Amino acid sequence: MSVLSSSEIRKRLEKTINDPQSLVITPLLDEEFDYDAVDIRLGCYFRLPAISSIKCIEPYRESHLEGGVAHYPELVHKPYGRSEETIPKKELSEMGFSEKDGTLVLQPQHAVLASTLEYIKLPADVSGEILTKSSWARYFISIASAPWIHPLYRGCLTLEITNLGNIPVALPVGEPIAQLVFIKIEGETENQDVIKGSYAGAILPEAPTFRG
Amino acid sequence: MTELVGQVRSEAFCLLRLCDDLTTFIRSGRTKKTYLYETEGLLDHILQSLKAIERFVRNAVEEPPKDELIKSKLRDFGEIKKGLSLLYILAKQAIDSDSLSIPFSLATFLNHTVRQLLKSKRASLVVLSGSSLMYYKYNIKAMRDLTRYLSARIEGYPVLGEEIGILMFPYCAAREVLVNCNLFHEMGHYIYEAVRLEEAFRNKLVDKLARFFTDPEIMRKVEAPLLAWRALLNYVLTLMSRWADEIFADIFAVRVLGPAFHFAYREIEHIIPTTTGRNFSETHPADDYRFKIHARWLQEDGWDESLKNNAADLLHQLRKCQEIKNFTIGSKPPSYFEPIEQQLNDWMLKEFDLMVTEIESKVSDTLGSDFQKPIEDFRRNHELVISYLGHGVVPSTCYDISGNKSHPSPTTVLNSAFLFYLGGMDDLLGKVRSKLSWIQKRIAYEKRLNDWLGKAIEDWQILLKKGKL
Repeated sequence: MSVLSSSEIRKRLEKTINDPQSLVITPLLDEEFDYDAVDIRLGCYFRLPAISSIKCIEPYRESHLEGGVAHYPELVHKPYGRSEETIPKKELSEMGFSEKDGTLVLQPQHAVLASTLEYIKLPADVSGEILTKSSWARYFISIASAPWIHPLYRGCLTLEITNLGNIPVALPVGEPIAQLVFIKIEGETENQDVIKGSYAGAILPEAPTFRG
Repeated sequence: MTELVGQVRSEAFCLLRLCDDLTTFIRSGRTKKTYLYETEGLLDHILQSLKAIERFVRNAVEEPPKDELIKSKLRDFGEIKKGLSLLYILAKQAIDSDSLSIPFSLATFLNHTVRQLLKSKRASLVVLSGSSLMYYKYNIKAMRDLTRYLSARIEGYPVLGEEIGILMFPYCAAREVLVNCNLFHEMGHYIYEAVRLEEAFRNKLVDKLARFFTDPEIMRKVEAPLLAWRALLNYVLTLMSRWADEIFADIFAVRVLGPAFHFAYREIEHIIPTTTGRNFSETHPADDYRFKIHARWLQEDGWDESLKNNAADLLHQLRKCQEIKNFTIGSKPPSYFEPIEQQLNDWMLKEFDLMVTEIESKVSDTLGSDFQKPIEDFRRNHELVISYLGHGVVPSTCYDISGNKSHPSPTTVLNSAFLFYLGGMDDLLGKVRSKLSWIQKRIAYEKRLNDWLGKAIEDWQILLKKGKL
């Protein structure tokens, strides 16, 4: 196994989708990568563990998705561009709007599921690993407890963001929060494009499915 | 007089309570949700209106009006009640339409499009979910007039701006993108109102109708009092104005979006079968007439070749519609005019054809000389979008075989995706490894497809904001 370099990543990004080696990351807002990783941004959709009347989640039971569990955690949308001034304040007021702050704040010892802004598709011969950007980690933010991404996965990634510190931290939509490292698999790999897994193709952070 | 003072008080208390309830409802509803900027603007307008009413009514109670003014106060209260009942309905619909309950990226793209076309930053389309299974443009003229009346009497009462339009879609279609292409037609109604075409058409029609009515042959066949002639005038004007509005919106949607609007219209037709076929109704031209116009403009704007290659059956149907010449009118004129009903209908249909020619040129004027036909981007990127969707990938950044990058426009994404939805889903489903039955997979991946389109439209807007296009 070896880690893909930025030039190899770029080469694969420029391949057409029909090529088994093609890698997709879209939208790619910053085309300057680190030597061995790509910055991944915080997307617009979150799932919050809101206070719920659900008594207990029972994974793998037939009745697991009944009683509102399918919609737990609760979905929240923070549109891109609300937390930064992509529409200048003056222009907003010319348009007749007031600026509303759209940033989500993560309280200490709280967790939230979030989607990445980027939709990715991995080639058949590459796995991915998502890591917290070190600047965030220094504020005790952790972004993934299931960081491994299988070959041929496609979809926005779901991050499990946890604030392990003791100060609330704002989560700015559209800003880099993670790094994606690509690892080339040695040996035989799937030779055709197949779509597998419950979360394949997801745009939102989806509620968990437990299929035995 | 004491009785009237009592009446002012009791009505005032009712109004104050309703204002308070509505304000609480909006504030608590807004706490956790995010809205389109345009919806935020509408909610702000409602809150400002409530505040102004509250102040006005409170003053009326705290400083009882002079005897001679009591009746006028009660009249004002009557108008306020009308205003509040309209705000009451809108407040609920707006609060229900947060960014997760509407096709958000499509709604922001509609606003981007309308601002560009009208060259106005203030043009605002509020997209709300309605309880009807129909798409429509909310008629806010009555509300706007009322806000003008109230703002002249109530200090600080805001006038609902001319630039605000409200488009309604069926609430259960919140996560759909394809069927919501019908919103482009509703945007056409907004443009029709914004460029003030209705009045111009009405005036022309009145002149033509006067000539038709005074034709000696018509006069000989009909014996009707003057009032009945007025009713007939109103009948003809109402019907033809509505048809003109609809045809304008259709041509606008076909030209701004492309065949995806036609597909979306046919899609909603499957859910709510219309029986209008060749029959003009009180509100809409016959479907076959509309399709005839769609066909003409799809051809004019260069879509034929693409449709021939990707949706040959549909193109064949559209061609058939273009050959249809005989249409009928389903509604009846006032009974005095039964002897000339056929003649009147023939006249209306003939005149409507002439109006359509004029409408067509008005649409072209509105789009302007720098309008980029959606077919141009479609020709460049259609194959790529189909190929990306076939691999289950959001088509917002696509590379061709030579490594050239492109970001297909939202209109291309919608047109290509509709063709993919109609004929390419099997390729995608063939790649899905799952225990689900074929029908379950189809349902799951139709949802996925709509999500991908929403994402592609959002990505395009993000790339535009970031100067990457």
